[in-house]
Amino acid sequence: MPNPFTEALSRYLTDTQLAKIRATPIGIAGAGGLGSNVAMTLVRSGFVRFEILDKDAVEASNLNRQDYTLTDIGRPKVEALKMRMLAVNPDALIVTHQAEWTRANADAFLTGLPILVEAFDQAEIKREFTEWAIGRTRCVVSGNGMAGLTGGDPTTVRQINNLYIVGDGTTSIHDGHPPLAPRVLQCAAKMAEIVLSRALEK
Amino acid sequence: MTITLNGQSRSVSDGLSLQALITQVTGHPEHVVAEVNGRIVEKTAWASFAIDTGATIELVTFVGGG
Repeated sequence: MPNPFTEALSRYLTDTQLAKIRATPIGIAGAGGLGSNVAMTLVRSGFVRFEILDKDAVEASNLNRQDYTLTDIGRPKVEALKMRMLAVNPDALIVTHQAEWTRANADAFLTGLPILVEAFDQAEIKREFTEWAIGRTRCVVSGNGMAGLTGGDPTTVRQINNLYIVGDGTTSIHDGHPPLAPRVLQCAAKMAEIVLSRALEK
Repeated sequence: MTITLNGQSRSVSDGLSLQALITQVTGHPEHVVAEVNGRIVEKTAWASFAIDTGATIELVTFVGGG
């Protein structure tokens, strides 16, 4: 018996489209500004299978851009995000890892998935994860450059084979650009759009 | 020799290593993913990777934020 969300979704997407979306598991590395908003956008788009990794707990300073609320503060981000996703679609199957991703433990997480979303915040980890992910999946979507109040277009896409890099490529939190909702959410939405398009392609 | 770097033709010295190229063109080699002729070259292999003439190289420099 489909839940009301799933039933209503069939007003917007065909059975064939929904079948493709449901058959595509998504890995999300990082559940911060990009990861939480990508995850919520994808669950609203009909995706039901997710594997999400993040090491942190929700802090008050996250709420300006990440898809959490005051009641989530102190909870592991992956758990809070899972609850928020299930509140939209209770039939979603969400595997979570509260863990730090490193090259040494990489093969324990996010393997065997057709689409991986790179949503970490530290440049070196973003680099390392992306390098690892290409060649291990059909498609990698990475966010790169969406900090600050203004800047280049955070929905700019650079495609290199099966790697999609979304963002202005320059504005960095390390250079004093604060992470703010408008540009972070634009970047996350574009990343989700690419995931949806790729899932519907096959 | 001539290579194509991020879509632009560029003249570089013969036998240049990927490590040397990346150090020349970016201030943050530790934030770079490199692809040569459609294949990722992992950072650990950059120093021993000799670039061939005509190579097509894509370098992605990551910035913080996510």
